[in-house]
Amino acid sequence: MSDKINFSKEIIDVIAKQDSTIGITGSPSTTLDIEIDITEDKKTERALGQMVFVMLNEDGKDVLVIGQIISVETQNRWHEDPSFKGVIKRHGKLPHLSGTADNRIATISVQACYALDANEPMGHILGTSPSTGENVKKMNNDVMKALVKKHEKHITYMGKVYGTDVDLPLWFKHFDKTNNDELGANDAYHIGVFGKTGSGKTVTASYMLLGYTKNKNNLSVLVLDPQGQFYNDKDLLPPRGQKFEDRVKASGMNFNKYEITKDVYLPGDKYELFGELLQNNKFLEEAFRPLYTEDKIEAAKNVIVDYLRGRSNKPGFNLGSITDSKKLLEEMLKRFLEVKDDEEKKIGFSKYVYGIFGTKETRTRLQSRIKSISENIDRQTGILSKWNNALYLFTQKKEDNTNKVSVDDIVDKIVNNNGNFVVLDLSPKKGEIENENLQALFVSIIESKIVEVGADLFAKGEKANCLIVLDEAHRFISKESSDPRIKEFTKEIIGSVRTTRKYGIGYMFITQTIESLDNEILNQMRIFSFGYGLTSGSELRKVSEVINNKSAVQLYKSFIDPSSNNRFPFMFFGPISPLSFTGSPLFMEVYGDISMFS
Amino acid sequence: MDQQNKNSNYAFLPDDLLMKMLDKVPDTVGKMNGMFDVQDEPIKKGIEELKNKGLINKITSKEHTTSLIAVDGSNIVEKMTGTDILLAMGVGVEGLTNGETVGWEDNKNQYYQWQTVLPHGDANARLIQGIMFLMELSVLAHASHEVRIMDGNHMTPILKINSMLSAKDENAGPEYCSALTEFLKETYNKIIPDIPDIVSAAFSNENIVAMVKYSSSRDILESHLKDHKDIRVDDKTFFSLGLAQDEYTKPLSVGQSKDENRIWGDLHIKCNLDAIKEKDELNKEFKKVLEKIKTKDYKGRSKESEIYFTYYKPYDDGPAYRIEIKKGIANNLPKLEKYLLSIKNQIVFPEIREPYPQYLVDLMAKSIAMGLFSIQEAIRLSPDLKIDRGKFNLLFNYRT
Repeated sequence: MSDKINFSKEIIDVIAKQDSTIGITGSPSTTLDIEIDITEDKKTERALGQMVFVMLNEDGKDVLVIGQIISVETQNRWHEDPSFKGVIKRHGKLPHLSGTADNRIATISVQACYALDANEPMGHILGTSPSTGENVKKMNNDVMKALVKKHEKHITYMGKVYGTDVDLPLWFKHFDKTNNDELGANDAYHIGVFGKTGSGKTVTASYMLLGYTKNKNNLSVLVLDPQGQFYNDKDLLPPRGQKFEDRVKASGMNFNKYEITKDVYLPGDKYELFGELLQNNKFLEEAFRPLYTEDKIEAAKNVIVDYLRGRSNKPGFNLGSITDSKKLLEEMLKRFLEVKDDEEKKIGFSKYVYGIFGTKETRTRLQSRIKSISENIDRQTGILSKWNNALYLFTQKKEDNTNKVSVDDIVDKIVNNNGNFVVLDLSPKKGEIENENLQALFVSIIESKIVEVGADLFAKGEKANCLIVLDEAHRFISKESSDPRIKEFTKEIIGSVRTTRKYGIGYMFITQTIESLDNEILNQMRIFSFGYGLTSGSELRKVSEVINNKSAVQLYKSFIDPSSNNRFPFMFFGPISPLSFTGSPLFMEVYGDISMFS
Repeated sequence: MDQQNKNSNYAFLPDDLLMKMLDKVPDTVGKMNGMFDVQDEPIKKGIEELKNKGLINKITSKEHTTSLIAVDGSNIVEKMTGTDILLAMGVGVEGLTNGETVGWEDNKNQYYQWQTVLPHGDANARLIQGIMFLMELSVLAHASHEVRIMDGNHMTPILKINSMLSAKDENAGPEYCSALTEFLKETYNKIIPDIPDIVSAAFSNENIVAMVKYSSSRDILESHLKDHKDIRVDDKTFFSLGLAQDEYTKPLSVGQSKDENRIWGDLHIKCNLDAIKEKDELNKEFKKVLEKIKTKDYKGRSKESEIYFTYYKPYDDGPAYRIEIKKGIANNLPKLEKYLLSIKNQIVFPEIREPYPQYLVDLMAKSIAMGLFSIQEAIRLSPDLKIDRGKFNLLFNYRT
């Protein structure tokens, strides 16, 4: 029935009723930036950030042009004249000229144009610059609603046009073709949400994710949560006390959250990872003390990994199959003390002890230490606890004997199935995960698995259609990091963002700083969301490079610290709104109350 | 051609020309030095003598007003290939105030503008100039402000209005007179016989003073310092150099010297346009109106004009100003000093040498050029313009 509705005519009718002229199209104007001369009666009204529209005629068609005012300038020729400056200096303002003779010139960044000659408004690119003298009117919710009426159910409202009361329509398309009445972009988008602490980036990202949950028949979402903020559902949605989980469930998506140290078991063949865990929880330092240098700790880790790899030659052995962790420790320590083959006999130590220290004295000392632990194993509570904790991450049963889920299960939920929203808590736990290095390792394991399964699907002509969210991405993506694990993971991510779009896998990076992300990642991003605070020289340069619009960057710079007024302004750039197809940024203040979200 | 590039028979213009001008600068400076070689002593003596004669006063009053305007006008005859566009305006602006302004009441125009198109004619410039002065006089006469500065002197409007009405020698015909009639009707709902009233209203109004920016008058030097032959500068320069801050000359009636007395005595407005049927009546009226300001009565006997003038130096470092006032003010020194002080308060020296509103209104009036450009464009672009394609050229200026 909808094809009988003349949406264009409805828009024209609504526009005809508006008398909110703010200015007149001026000169010079282009198809992307339109100058307007603000009318006298509107000169004291807020103009910056206003969304405005103007009806033009092009090729005999009515064309509705929508844009946002990104700069306003006051001009007064008398105040610019050097002679009059002398007068002002001594007498203050110029009677009848100061204020009265002001001209305000605003620049509109064109966001979208629609040709209104057919039943439905059709996206249009201005083919010629607008004539001067056309009425430019303030956008309001009546016009906006009429404009997006056709796509009403696909629209997400998560904020108002910056400095106005107009709700800004956004759309969050899944990454495949439009299907089951859910809009598809037919391309996976990588997304960046940037902003300093307190800028509202987590709330904004949460709103965006809720926008994506409108695609329950096509999309799944995985949140890798290094701070546990999504897992604990803490302060994600305003006002305090609102639950993100409830909102996701209300959308019809399945919500699952897992704590990686308790609910998920890691692949049993990841001996290197086990070694890293022992290194990380200080097991090595305590068990084999004294280990004075990082080299020695690394060497101790390597001999344990070697030992376990050796054991894995026997079918059925892996870290997930261990039923008696103390016994495994005892067996390992025993082997470290044994001198078995000719080679070991020749050197007088097991190859494992030999692998850690270089002198006879130090090796003998280590042997004594290992012997002491072995003989008093039950009294070594600290060592045993660390060993058990690390191994627990690989066991398939929880302490209450219920089953854990595997990384493969999670990846399956996300990549092979739609409608799943999974939060994976990677937050630091004392004795288990204590630094970004390990978080990066976990993320790396999951991420590589996702890419692997995504590639398989792609080979079969299907798409994964999933969004991987990396909160606090700067923690584990940094080319400059001194940590080799993070460096390596950064390389992996760069490789992934290059290739996974075609698999239908999109990444959302939530981070405090745009500088932390590699240029390669930025180059692959399609949607940017900039909150308050990226104003240092180098960060602003990055933002400018992305936006390539001086006036827009100026407006971004004018954002006020949200802590002073509890308003959260954002600059969005990319295909996120029916109003953003010219590639100009959109300025928005996200809602301070989830009840307004729709 | 000595400066001309030797490798070419043709000068590098304008560079060569400019070089030649710059070469002549030392000569010009030398001549200027001669003119500036004004000895202090004769000036001092001259001033001393005037003081002895009681002709120089110093302001003692503290009273002033910010209810002050300046009025100016401008006009253009745009000679297009097929026709002339005539455009004139008269405008007034207020000066610096302490916050409160008088403004213009609804029935008192702050400005007038008028435009028309006439066939090519030498007299067209006289018509539009005369109209401009009528506008200026109207703005001045109808404002409510206490002090109203006319740009120039009292004589010029009379000369220009006379020129407008006596353009028979330049073939001002019926169309010329129709345009004048049209202007009066459109602008004031008046007719040609009302012109003397417009002049009279301004010339009898004591609130109106005239300030001339440039003056070569030696009226005082020729009349009161005849023996000081060594003072060769004009009155304005003389008083600029000789007066101290806040000193002014005692107001004197215009035409103190023989030459100037003759000029003010001969002042007249005499219409000779045959297309104006009422010209005889009109001329009688003008005689009556001008009677008060002339230095001769209707029988040719010498008399005082009711236009007075004074030279006033508001600041030590600045120039003296020649200010023409009405007799009533000249004879009322407290009021005169209030006017002078009010003018002083409008001078933002050295940035602006004339009173601020006079400078401002000059800029406003000059914007007429922009107005003309807009009118031309609007005419050419008007969908109502009916002109054959082949005649479109007639819409442009005869020169590029």
